[in-house]
Amino acid sequence: MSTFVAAFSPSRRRAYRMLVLTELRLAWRTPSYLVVALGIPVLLLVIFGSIPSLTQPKKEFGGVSFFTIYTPTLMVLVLIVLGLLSLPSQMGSYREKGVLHRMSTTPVPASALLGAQVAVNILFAVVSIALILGVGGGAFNLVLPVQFGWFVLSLALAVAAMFGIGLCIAAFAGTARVALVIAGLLFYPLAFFSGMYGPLAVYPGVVGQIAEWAPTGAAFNALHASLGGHFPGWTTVGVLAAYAAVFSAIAVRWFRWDVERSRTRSGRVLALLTLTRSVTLPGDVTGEQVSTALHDGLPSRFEVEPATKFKGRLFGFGTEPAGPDVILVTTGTTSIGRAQVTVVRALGDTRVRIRSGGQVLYSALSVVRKVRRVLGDLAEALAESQPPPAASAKRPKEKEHT
Amino acid sequence: MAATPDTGFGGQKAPTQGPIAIDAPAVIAVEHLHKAYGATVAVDDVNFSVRAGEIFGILGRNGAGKTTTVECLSGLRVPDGGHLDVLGLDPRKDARELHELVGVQLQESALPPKIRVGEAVELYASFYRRPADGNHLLGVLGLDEKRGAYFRELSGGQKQRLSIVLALIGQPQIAILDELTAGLDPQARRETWELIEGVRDRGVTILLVTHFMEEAERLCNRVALIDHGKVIALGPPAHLGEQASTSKRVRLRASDQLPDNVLEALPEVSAVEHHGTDLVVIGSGDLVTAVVLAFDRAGLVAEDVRTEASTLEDAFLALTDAADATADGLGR
Repeated sequence: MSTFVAAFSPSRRRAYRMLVLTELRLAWRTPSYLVVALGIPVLLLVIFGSIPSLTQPKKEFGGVSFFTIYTPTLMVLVLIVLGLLSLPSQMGSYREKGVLHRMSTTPVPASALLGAQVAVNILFAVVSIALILGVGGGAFNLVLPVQFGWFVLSLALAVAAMFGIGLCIAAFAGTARVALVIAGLLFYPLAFFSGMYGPLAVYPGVVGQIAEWAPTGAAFNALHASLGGHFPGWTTVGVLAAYAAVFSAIAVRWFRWDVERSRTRSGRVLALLTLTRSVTLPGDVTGEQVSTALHDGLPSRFEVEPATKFKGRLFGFGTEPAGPDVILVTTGTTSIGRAQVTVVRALGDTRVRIRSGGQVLYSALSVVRKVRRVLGDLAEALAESQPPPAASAKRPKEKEHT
Repeated sequence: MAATPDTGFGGQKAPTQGPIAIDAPAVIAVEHLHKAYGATVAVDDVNFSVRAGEIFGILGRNGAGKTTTVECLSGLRVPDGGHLDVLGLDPRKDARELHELVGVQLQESALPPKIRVGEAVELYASFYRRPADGNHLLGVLGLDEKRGAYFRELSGGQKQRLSIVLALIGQPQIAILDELTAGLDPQARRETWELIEGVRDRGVTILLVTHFMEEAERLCNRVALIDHGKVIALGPPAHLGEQASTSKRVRLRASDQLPDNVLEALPEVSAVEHHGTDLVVIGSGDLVTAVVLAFDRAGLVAEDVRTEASTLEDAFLALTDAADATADGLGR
């Protein structure tokens, strides 16, 4: 009780005010953050608003234009980007760099800093959404018979749901990198249900029904209805409120700012999400040889970068004096799947480590699988060409299916 | 004591200069502290107490358990066993109150890269009930001109000095400083030492974690040597040096060479070494007299006779070696 009172004492309030002010300044000094938070949504709005055909009412969109129906989607996207991508990675980086650690030696708990980050991100989200409404109404005659009360309620619930999910990610991820990996996995489905790839009204029934129950779909429906002057419906409001309550509760219950606990947990999550596989090649194999084999063996849609000596830190274990060769394999232009191939020569053998990366889990895994297959073939070819040492088991050639 | 400018450091007015009274009250008491991370025992059994007004050093190799000890004292980690008392508070239960009274500078901590020095000081000042004058502290630590600089633009030494400012901004009674001078050049290190002494002279008790022997010798009233999670020696640096070595070293230059076997025949002498023109005689007992008399008997003159005090570093190596030997003997 005394801590509760202390938390709202005038001196504490001053600390909280300073924390929010500092976070605002830091956000203001990060151009990429401003562009993503404020610039891109407005830019998209301006682009869509400038294309005449998109501002014509369409029957398939329920009698409104694409421009009108995309406005709530942009609002949900702002919440996804700030709540899901930006917030957890900011928190992760504060944890990694020891900012939270430093703060936890002061009378003000480190959770106050996290609270300030939440507040600042919500503030930017609200400003961004106000900009969307202002620019849409001012420059493109976006006339919305807004149901103000329902709109504010829908927005508040949508913010709580998205930031709740973001805080859950931050609670699990100890580092910015892990947070981004998790957020990246969630981004595409969530963005899809917000209508980013096209208004859900045009999708056949089942997808629309799933969308009603997805957090971003419900957020879209609530915002779309209230912007159009309707009551969103109890189902939509209820779904959104449930997401808000559940994720906020999980975040509050599980969030740990202290370094000690989160590291082990993030290690587990990272191990789950980034797959590492090893292949041992007989004899001394250079990075160039591996790179050439991958280039020849992989389908043409893969890009294989030439082997480079690794410089700097490797997996956080400091600088290796004789850096191993590192080859980056990506899927062509999109780079949606990636693998980092590390070639280390030791004890007469060559160990190749393949580490998955990229934004989408299944494509990352498929890259690892393909790289592994090519290297397996290389290992066999090398074993055959070499004078086999005594009982070198010549493995029967496995025919792997795709 | 050279005239120190009015630094305005925190703490009480009365400057405690000179030796610390033996009966000064203990402000930190550590009893049987134990902390393990999984199967790794970081701190096994650590006991010591720190008296008001002293600079107390915790010395040890990397991984000896120094940082874990101070993190437990700072309320950042929960000990698995033992009893801690800091200014009558339990670091775990009374963390908030403790942090008002104890300023901490930790190794693995940082500020956001794009915060300005002045802003960081203002922010941290807002955390405390009775903050010190931040601008004044920045001036004292020579960061006046850096007030508008981003944290990431500071050099290693400047970051450390800012870290000291932040540790002192709450006018603490105790400052815990972990590896304060690691990564600093000798000049910056010496300047930092003077600053620490300045802080102590304002009545702040300092707990200093270091692995620099020279630093401990120069600054600390008392040190605790920690190895394998245990205190293996405790006392003033000079005493530890004597305690560690029973052998003495006498260095001299002779007008003419005296055959080694003459010296080695002396009961006090255990070894004779030649270092360039210098002769170093190692032994025990009244070594200087024995050696000088031996030269005199041979009709030679021993010049520049110096006894070499064994340093804290010798003590440290001797003691940790002994600890290793014991550990090996136990089959570790």
